[in-house]
Amino acid sequence: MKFRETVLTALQSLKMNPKRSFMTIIGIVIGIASVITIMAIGNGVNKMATDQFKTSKSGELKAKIDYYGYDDDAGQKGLSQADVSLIKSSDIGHKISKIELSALSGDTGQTTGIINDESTDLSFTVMRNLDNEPDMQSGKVFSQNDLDVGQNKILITKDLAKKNFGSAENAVGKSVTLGNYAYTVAGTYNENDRYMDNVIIPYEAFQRESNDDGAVMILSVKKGENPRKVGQAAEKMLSKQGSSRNSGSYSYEDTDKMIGEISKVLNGLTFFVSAVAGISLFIAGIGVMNMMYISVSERTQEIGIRLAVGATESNIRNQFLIESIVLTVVGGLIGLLSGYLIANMVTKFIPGDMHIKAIISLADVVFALGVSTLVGVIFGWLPAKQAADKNLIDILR
Amino acid sequence: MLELRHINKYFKRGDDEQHVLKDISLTINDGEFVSIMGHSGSGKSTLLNIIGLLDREFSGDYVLNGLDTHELSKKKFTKFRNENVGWVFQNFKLIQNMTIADNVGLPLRYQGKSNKEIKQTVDRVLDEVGILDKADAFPKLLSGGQQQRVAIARAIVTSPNIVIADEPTGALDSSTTIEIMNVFKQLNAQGTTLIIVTHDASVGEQAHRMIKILDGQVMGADYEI
Ligand SMILES: Nc1ncnc2c1ncn2[C@@H]1O[C@H](COP(=O)(O)OP(=O)(O)O)[C@@H](O)[C@H]1O
Ligand SMILES: [Mg+2]
Repeated sequence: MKFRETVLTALQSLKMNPKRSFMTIIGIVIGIASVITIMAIGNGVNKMATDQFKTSKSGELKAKIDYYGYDDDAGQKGLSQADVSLIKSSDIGHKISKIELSALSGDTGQTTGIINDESTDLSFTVMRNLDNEPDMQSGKVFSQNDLDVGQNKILITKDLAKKNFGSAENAVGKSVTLGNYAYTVAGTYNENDRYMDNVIIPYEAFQRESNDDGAVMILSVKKGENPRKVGQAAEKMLSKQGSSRNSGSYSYEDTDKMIGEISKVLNGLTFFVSAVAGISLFIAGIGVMNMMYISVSERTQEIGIRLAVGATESNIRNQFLIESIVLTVVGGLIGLLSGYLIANMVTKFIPGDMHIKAIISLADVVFALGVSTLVGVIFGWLPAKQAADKNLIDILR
Repeated sequence: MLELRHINKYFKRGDDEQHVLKDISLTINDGEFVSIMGHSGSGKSTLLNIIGLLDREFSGDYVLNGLDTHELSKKKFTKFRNENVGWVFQNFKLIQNMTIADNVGLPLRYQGKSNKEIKQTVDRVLDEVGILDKADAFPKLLSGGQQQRVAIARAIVTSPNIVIADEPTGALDSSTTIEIMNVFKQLNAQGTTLIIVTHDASVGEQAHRMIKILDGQVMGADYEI
């Protein structure tokens, strides 16, 4: 019998018992999904780590220094052009090609604003795309076009709206000044985990704000220099002589260290998850074996008929073996897919603005298919052999 | 032509051995229509399994179409049966979750034939036994007589020169029995050697020759009918 026919036959008989087949592969799905989840996250972390060291076009690496004010509501940004000059003129100055200041730390920042002619300190979030819409209370969220061209539109929290404009509805259409520009209130929103700040503006609009000062300093380190050493030296210098050293602290964001910590957690998790997956696959394998034994005994007549009309013992053995492999490989594929989806969800909860993305590599696909095939072969072998060894005369009697 | 020489067959019964076939020798020529009759438990099925190449564990020689069957390896033996013998069983032995056409085509599948060739041949034999319209139905929707026609179609789909049937009418009523016997006789008229085991005398007597088995032995001379 041709291989294709054997596979079709296997699929057909698995379809006869869809519920049983499905229950049997759940263990495989769980096993493969957990391994793939952890591998996809691991791949993402690795990719990010290598991206960190991937030199930009000019062969430069970046070092980032954050300023944290002691008084959260002070509204001051902490880093100024004075600090930039300080570093440029220091003995590490020649190792640095460019210094930029940004009010943004991740996607959020602090600045002063004017609402109803009253000056207040505001925290803001920039919105880069529409993937994560805030929980709107009144008005409308930005359009894609608003984001693209950086319209001077602003979303404010419900509380801020009530305090300054009486109600959420009243606020829409009013004007609010943030930094150097005036923005029109497009809507109000409820704060949540993602949008914890007072206001939201389009990222492109924020880009127009002057960058004379900021909460973050980004040093472009020349080729051949160690960004880590430069970053640490700059941090030290700012702590001693920085313009706002008395009202806050400076800290070099050591991405290496963060990656190292995530890797450590990941390694521990990988061990744990692999153990869970191993057990799950083993139990699933026993389940497959059990189901195949039941199937073989239920289909004794069929086996006898096939043997009588010309099937060889290896035909019968292959038929049941392929059935078991089809079963486990389908489980493996479902596991692969769910692992990827779970990994995608999990990466959203990794703290810090590390932007880790779940990545499935070809090796993972090969792994999922390989392991599930192996489980199918190992645990399908004995039942298949039992089927092939059945005595034709006894069956037909 | 098939030739059995001094066939003996034993079955284990606990510690004892039961001597089921006792020194059976017989010859059946091409194109013959032979019935084998005897009481229940006399060894008819056991003998037929040997003739029909389902059982190769016996002592004595069995030469079929000039070939000593003991000399075939297990795999070749299966292939040899597949090509030379078509089997029809008492209770039809159809695979329930396969269509009629798939059931009938199964022997050709195991020969590795192409889908197209299988379809053509299956349609031809289904037409020959008069149930082409049931090709896509499933066995349980067919009457006993129709199912036995399917089984016959499956037996002849490989164009074997011998068709063997173990109590083919055992599960059928008398009018259906007549129908099925007509199909068999038509086959035989086309030149196929036909060997039928039965305990129904009215069926056995339709053959050209009757072999009587009693307690594992052939009784007296064969009957020419
Ligand atoms: N596979 C077997 N194992 C043990 N005993 C068997 C087997 N097949 C048949 N027998 C015994 O051999 C004898 C002949 O059986 P069988 O050939 O089926 O008779 P018949 O077909 O004439 O009714 C019976 O006593 C039966 O119990
Ligand atoms: Mg019998």
